[in-house]
Amino acid sequence: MPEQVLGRRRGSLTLATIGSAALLLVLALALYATGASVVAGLNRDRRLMRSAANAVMGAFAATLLAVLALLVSLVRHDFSIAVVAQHTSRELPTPYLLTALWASQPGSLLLWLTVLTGASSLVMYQNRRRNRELMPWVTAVLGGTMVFFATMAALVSSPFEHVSGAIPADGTGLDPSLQNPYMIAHPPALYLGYVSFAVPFAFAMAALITGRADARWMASVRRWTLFAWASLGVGMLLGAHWAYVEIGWGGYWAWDPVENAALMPWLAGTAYLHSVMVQEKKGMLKVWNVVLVSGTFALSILGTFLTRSGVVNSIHSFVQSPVGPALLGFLALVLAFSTAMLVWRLPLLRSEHRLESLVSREASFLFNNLLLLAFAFAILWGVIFPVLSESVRGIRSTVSVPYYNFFLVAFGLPLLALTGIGPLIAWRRATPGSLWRMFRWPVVSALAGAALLGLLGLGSSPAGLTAFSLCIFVSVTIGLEFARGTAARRAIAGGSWPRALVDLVSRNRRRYGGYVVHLAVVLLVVGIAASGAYGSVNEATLKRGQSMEIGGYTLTYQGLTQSRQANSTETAARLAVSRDGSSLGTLSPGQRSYPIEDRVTNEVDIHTSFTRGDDLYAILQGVSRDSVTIKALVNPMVSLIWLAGIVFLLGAAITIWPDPREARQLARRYATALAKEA
Amino acid sequence: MTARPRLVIALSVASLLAVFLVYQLAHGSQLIVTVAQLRAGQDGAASKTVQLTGTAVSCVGTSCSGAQAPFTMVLKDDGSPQTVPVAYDSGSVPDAFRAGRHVIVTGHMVGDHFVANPDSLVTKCPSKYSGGGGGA
Amino acid sequence: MSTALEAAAVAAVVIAAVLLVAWPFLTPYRGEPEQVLSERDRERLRLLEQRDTAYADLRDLEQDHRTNKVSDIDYESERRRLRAQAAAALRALDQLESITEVASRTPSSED
Repeated sequence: MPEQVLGRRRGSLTLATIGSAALLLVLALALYATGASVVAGLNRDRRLMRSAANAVMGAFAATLLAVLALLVSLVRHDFSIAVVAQHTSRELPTPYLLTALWASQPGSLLLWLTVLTGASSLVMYQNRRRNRELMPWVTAVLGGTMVFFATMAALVSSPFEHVSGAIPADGTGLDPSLQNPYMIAHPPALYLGYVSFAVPFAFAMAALITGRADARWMASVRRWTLFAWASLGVGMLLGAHWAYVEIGWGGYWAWDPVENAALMPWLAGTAYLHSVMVQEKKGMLKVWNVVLVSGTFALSILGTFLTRSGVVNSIHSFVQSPVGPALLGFLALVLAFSTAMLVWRLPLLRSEHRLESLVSREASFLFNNLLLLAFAFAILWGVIFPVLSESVRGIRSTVSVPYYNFFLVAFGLPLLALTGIGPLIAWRRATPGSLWRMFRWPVVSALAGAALLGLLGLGSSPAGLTAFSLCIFVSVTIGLEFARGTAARRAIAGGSWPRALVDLVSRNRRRYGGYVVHLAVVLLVVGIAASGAYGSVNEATLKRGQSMEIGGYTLTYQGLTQSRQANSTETAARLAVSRDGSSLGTLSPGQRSYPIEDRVTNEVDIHTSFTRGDDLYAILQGVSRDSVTIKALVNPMVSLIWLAGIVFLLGAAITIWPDPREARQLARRYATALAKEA
Repeated sequence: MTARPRLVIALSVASLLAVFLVYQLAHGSQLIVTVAQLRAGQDGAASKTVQLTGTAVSCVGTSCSGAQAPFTMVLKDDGSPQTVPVAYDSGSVPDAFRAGRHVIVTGHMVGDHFVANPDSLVTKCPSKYSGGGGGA
Repeated sequence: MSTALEAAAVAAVVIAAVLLVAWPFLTPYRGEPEQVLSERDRERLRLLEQRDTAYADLRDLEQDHRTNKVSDIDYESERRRLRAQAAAALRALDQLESITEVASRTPSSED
């Protein structure tokens, strides 16, 4: 036995040592990359720049080595490593062994570092022959960020720390709420979003440092921002879905500080994606765009800080650790650096044009930005309010769900209106005639829709009814844009309607991809408004054979069932579901007991009806000898929220998809500019 | 930018902030208190609806792990030996709830008891990435 | 599994990293010489961008007009403005080329 223990200890030391050494190597390479790229930028030293780029890619390889070491340790149940002992057990199914990588604080920092070095390496590769003047500074900023996170992972909060004391025979297991398929995708998607915002930030700083920014720079920044923004959006929806099916209170968003931490950079990113169009078209809002790009990255760091510092009460946050203050320091550095760069280069960022009319696309984008940032600010205020109030008054105060919902409606409804107005309004100036022509059908449809919905009884919630009417408005505008655009395309090029549509989208990816994203927003709003304003809830204690009513459904308790999974046992209540006398199957909400983790979790059951468009949601609140307590909810249209995620992804993909025509034009332009000198 | 659009934009920003401030003033905010602060009646905590934080040390007549409403738990202050009984009469209980866990619960004092609002119990799992929420 | 194996593994990784970083200095440089953009190059690039942006805006304007977003009057005036912008860029490019030609034909560079 002692030899086995010793043997295990020695074997595990090897992996942990390699992992720790790999992280130290990442730090060394990041330091080199940062310093070398600065020198290369100042001296225009091509070789040194190549060396710095290689160092970045080497850092990625070394990070992957550390990840591999940790994954192998997890799968091999190496309980000499603290994170393995604290977040896994021998009974844990293998997929969750792997995802336990990011269940812990040090592991999630390693994930941050992996995505950062990976994204940075991709940037090095993409720009091996482009943006030559900018790349040293892009590399320096990315390298600096890598230095910070590598220091955290290697020296402050290492995933390879050993357990203190004796090596346990088994681990304490993974939090049962994390043993869910959505937890496999949610953190990586979220981190892809958070971390990738570093790239547009680095490009923006490089442009300020060199005083150069051309179309190619703009395309790089835009594409990376779209990618980060899309990932963050998908990450949030995956998290919402996980909360809906796993946490089991019947909702999907609780305005928890950590949820808000992801929403804020997403809102700032949305603002940027719109205002950058104004910069491209009119050469305006240059300063504003730099502020937005820096602000988005800063909000990402803030989000990372909020998850780790324990400074605000949240069901998600990790315990207080030294990583928190360090992140705050890094955030301060990011803000100070970007402000200094901006102030230094202010003269270069003069607007080329002026805003001529308030009834124009530029103006609608400006209003959209104001609303988005106001909403982000309201959320930020709500999140840090407890900290602020404590420092001012000595006692903590908090705002809760009604606060956030108020601003969601106050800013969200005008934003929704702008989603429909913006695309149909002309650049520079819209005339009353053109406004009437473009908006008469959407407005008429929205009013008619509102009247109809009101008659159907949806007037009980004015906010809900307004939201639905605006959704009709936006949907009609999107439909008209596609129809008119396709007709115009067909008038030029002939061919069939489907062909013309494909051609239209292909030639205007950003515009029509954007419209698809707007459609996703419509679906999202319908889902949120319907489930938020028109849902119902009922709670009852039932003996066998007894029934309860909810939203037209009848639930009849039939008895308890027991089942066993790999690392848990489940007790479930069988409920027969019927509606208007006809049977719709059964629901089995249960409670699952995890002996190793010493936890009991709620496992809700959901019956989704696509014909009725609602979810029947059942929670087993309590079990006694001869009865069960059931809480049932009817959530209308929730499935639309998940459908919105898919449509959103489709729209984002269309906008990101590289246009070979655009690439060729940029290359030609650059070649022409240089060829004449020869 | 010409003067008129600039004016309108400034007014828009001002109105947005006004909406915000009006809301804050009208609805106020909720205090977050520890057991000690509640007992001391700091800032009128004893007569308002507040968020109470503390560690659940025991549950009356039942085991905390897997407890179902209605039940009463004893919440202890993190920085002092003060305790307060909390009556949780209805609502869901988070999966992570058990004795020794740090909790947050919303409600108000009635006599010597803290009466919790339904579905307001939230549990935090220290040193783990936890999804232990039970309230919305 | 021994400490020697551990050390060897770590050393191998470190050596690989050092080689990767030093590679550009160890191999003969095969890439193109550093293309330093002269002021003239920059100006040319800027004018080409101005031209291409005007063309792209004209295409968008065409699309907006066909889908009735822009009235006929506004379409005409905007089209004139954008074509003038493109023409100005092309003129400036021509001027830049003739300056370059003259500069390269001056006596100091010939004899």
